[in-house]
Amino acid sequence: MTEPRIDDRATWPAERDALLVREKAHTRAGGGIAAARRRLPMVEIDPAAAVVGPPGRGLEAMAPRHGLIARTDGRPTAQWSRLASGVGA
Amino acid sequence: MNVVSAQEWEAARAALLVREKAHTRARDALAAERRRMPWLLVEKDYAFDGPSGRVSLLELFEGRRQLVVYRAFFEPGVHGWPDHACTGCSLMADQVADVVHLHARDTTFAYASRAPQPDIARLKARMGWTMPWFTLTDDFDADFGVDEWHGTNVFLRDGDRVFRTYFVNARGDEALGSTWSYLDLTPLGRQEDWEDSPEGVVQTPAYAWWNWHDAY
Repeated sequence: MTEPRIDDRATWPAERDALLVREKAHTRAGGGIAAARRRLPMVEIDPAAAVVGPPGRGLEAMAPRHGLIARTDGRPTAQWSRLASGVGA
Repeated sequence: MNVVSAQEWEAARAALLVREKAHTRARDALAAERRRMPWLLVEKDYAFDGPSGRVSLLELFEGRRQLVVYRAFFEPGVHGWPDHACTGCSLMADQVADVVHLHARDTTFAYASRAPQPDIARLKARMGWTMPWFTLTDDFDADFGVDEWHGTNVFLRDGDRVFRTYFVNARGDEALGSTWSYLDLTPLGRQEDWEDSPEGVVQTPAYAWWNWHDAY
């Protein structure tokens, strides 16, 4: 790679602190988005929806907790390819 | 509770998704800025105790180009000693992805603490942690901002010269754990061809370098 700027101990912290201000703003913005997510409306779903696997069958698997996070993994299909090609766009 | 129809929920979610995607792009832009940070030459020699004896900072790289070091608090006087590391540092350790994925991007990952190696080996075995974990022996923690608080330092090796390229702590550490989160702190980044990186950084197509952790 091209030769980077090499700082001395006196100037490097100032460069890092300048970027840190932006990083902290981004962290706060993420907190704001999470707050908006907590205020999203909810949609009721059929609690009898079939989910097979330990420790049981159906959404009762989440009991006794109040929340459930489910991740669905898909096969690498044409949709996956489109997603991959759109990365960074 | 604001219960709505599936259609209304999809609309509300799609509206928030716009903000989420903008936030992701902003995160990418910050990572691009980090890749353009100046480097700070490390001029002192530092030594660490590891499972195979005393090693230098240069040796921590294990020959790779980049090194990420997380300072965890595990030593006499820290809550939990000697059975546990600090609660927060332990929660962090539970998040760390298998380091082989970082290795595939020429990046080494290590933990460092003040505790002697036998205590670290016992802790790792009991808690199921597998990342390399070294013992601090000198001013490394004071010199790199991690003597009082946890933090993650990023180094780059150019031949035998070592540079400090970045440092995060506090809630910066909170976001770490995934392979991508660590690579985004480094001067070379994920090394994927969509990234806005300094000229000369070798990049490959996104996703193409991934493999199963037992197949690299």
